[in-house]
Amino acid sequence: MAAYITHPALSSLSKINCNINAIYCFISFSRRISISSNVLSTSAVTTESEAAGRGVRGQRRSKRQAGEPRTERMTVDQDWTAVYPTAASFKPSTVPLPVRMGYPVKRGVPPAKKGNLELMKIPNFLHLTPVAIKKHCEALKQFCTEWPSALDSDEKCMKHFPIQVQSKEFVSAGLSLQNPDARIVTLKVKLSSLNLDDHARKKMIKLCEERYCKDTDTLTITTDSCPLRQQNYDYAMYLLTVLYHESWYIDWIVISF
Amino acid sequence: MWDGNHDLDIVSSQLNSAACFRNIHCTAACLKNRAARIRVGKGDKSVTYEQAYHPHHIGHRKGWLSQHTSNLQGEDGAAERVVEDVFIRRFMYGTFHGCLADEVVIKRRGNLLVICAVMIQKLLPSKFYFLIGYTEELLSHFYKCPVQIEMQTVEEKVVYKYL
Repeated sequence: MAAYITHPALSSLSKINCNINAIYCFISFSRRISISSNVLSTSAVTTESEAAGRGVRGQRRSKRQAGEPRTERMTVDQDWTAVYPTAASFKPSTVPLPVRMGYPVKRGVPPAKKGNLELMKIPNFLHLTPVAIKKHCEALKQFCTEWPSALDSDEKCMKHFPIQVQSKEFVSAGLSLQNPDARIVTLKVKLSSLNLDDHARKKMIKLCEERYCKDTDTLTITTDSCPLRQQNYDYAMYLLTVLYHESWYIDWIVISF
Repeated sequence: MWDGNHDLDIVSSQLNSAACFRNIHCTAACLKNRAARIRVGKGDKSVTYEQAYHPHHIGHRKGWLSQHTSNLQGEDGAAERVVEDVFIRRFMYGTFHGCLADEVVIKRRGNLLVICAVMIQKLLPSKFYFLIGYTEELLSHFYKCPVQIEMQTVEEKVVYKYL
């Protein structure tokens, strides 16, 4: 039998933990009552507890003892993806490592992992072990198709797909996941890949003004006037089409003067 | 010949112009050297790690209690996140009154708001579960985003040192 005694001066209400014949019971007492550490019979304990309970707001809580942490029952070859399937904060009772974090006190060690706020603050990658990533890849494979084997070099890609369209996706943490800058679309095309004769090329360059870069022979069209990315993409393609047809059109009225 | 009236007029007109006014500025006293600091006492005050280290140790010996992307270059919404954080801390302090062992850690993963808290085992587990559900439901209705609470319990406050 063991009884833990707390000094009454430190707290007005404290609980003592009695283990009598494998029966767990809790007694709460006020500052005026003090119990010695000698033998306490079961009957005395129950009457004491009832008296104390009635004395202190009549509260009788039967508190269950906290069980052992999950780490005690973990095997070495367990499935870790079941412990941390998604991103979660550090839980000391589920990570079986004796991690310590924090600045140590003088002639001491860094604080242990139990109740360690520093370990909870930092992001962890316990959910991204190589095994977990393999599982993700296996699950995603059924939605993927093979890269076409004919397109094995950059030149072939440029030859078959001369127009390059770029847009940005934004990831941020906040109440709204939308970002207005995600609607901007940039279209890049090399004039050498378009079917232009001498006059059409000169007219195209004159129409584009500063959107044409002479060194790389690239025409860059950036659209952001529409609210949606799809609309901006359609507008950019429309502009390219209009530029192409306009550059081929020979304005006889202007030339005849 | 000295024209006293003319000079006086010039001086008074210059005094009345906007550049010469001195007003009283009233702001709240910031007390930057007393914020978030527990003063050293007799040696009977127990402090946690979070309370023991002062704000200038943030980034060196302490981490950040709240994480989001709004403070990065080109991102907006920083002020709104701060106001949300303050509200959430007060809400947690009041809902789990007397149970909080340490400060609340707030993380944001995209849309999801994760609140990590360390509690003392003061209430029954069923009461804790109820309060967690209540908090999650209310806060997700306030902020129109999913809210998740990750809670740990300890028997008593983890003491770092005594001041």
